[in-house]
Amino acid sequence: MNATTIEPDQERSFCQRYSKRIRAYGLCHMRDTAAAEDLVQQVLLIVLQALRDGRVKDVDNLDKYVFGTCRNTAMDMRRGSARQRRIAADAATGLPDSYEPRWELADRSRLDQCLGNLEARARAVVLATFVDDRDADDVSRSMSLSAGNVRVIRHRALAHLQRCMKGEQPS
Amino acid sequence: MSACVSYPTLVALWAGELNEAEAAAVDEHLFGCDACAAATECLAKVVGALREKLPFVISHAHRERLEAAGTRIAVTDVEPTLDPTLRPSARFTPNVDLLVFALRGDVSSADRVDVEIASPTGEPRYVLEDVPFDRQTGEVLIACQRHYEGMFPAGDPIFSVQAVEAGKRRAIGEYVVTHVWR
Repeated sequence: MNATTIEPDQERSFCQRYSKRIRAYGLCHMRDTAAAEDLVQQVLLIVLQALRDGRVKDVDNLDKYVFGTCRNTAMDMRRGSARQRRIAADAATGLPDSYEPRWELADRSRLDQCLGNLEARARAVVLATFVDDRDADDVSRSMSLSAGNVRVIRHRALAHLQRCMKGEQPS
Repeated sequence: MSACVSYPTLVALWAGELNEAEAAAVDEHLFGCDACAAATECLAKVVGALREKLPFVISHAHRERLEAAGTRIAVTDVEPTLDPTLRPSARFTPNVDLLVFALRGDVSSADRVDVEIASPTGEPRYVLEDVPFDRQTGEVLIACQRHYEGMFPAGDPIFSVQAVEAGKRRAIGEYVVTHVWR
């Protein structure tokens, strides 16, 4: 990618490559869908502006640059800085048209069905972790399990949920 | 590039259980590795949806936060009975976003409260352990969302509430609400 003359097609493919990664980062660490969407727009715009201005020195190492920008922007968003609010106001207008591949959270009704297919203990662990925001140690105490057991139940249950959401048969 | 991220590590990241340095290393890898990025994007859809999900049982503080955020809630007080002539009904009118059933019973000495949700035929069945409850009002709040319609095709579910007191389990009651979805 040429640092000084980024073409519209290159901008679009840049956005397509990174928008999902930035959103996943935002959902994981900010735990808020709207904040994650804001993060996507702001990070894409900051990096695109840097690319347009030729301020990205190592364009072959863009992954690291985008990650660093994403982390810093998320921190700024948590602080609600004035600079961040200015960027937020500009973000929507500074990105290429149709910059983002279609992205939706899992269907809620389907998720409820798949949760219903889980064994009761696995379902309780998943809900305690991701709905009630309790850590493995806390869950282990109330369910009379070891924290290690809770973690194993949790990742197996999530894998099961992902397969179920895709319509695959449980293994 | 660092080694690919195992699924349990990815789940630990999403559960917020990695320390700052571990999380940063995993995050950096996810930005540079197409396969791991795809794996976390799939996980993001499910965990993101889970985090937006209201638990079946909410605390009174959670109800207040929802109301403060503009959620239109209709609360129905429910006493323990399975008698169809005595059960209350709750209706999802167009101006209601969430039905809350306040299951009432003596939980004043409970160390923990568990709720089982079952269809009249016994399935599907949810066992919810250690749910929020209010000792003073004696209430356990069930949050019923509009998209639950059809979840119990055999009829309105039965909510069974049990208290655990000094290690012993005590039945508080069984409750049914007639749901009117429109």
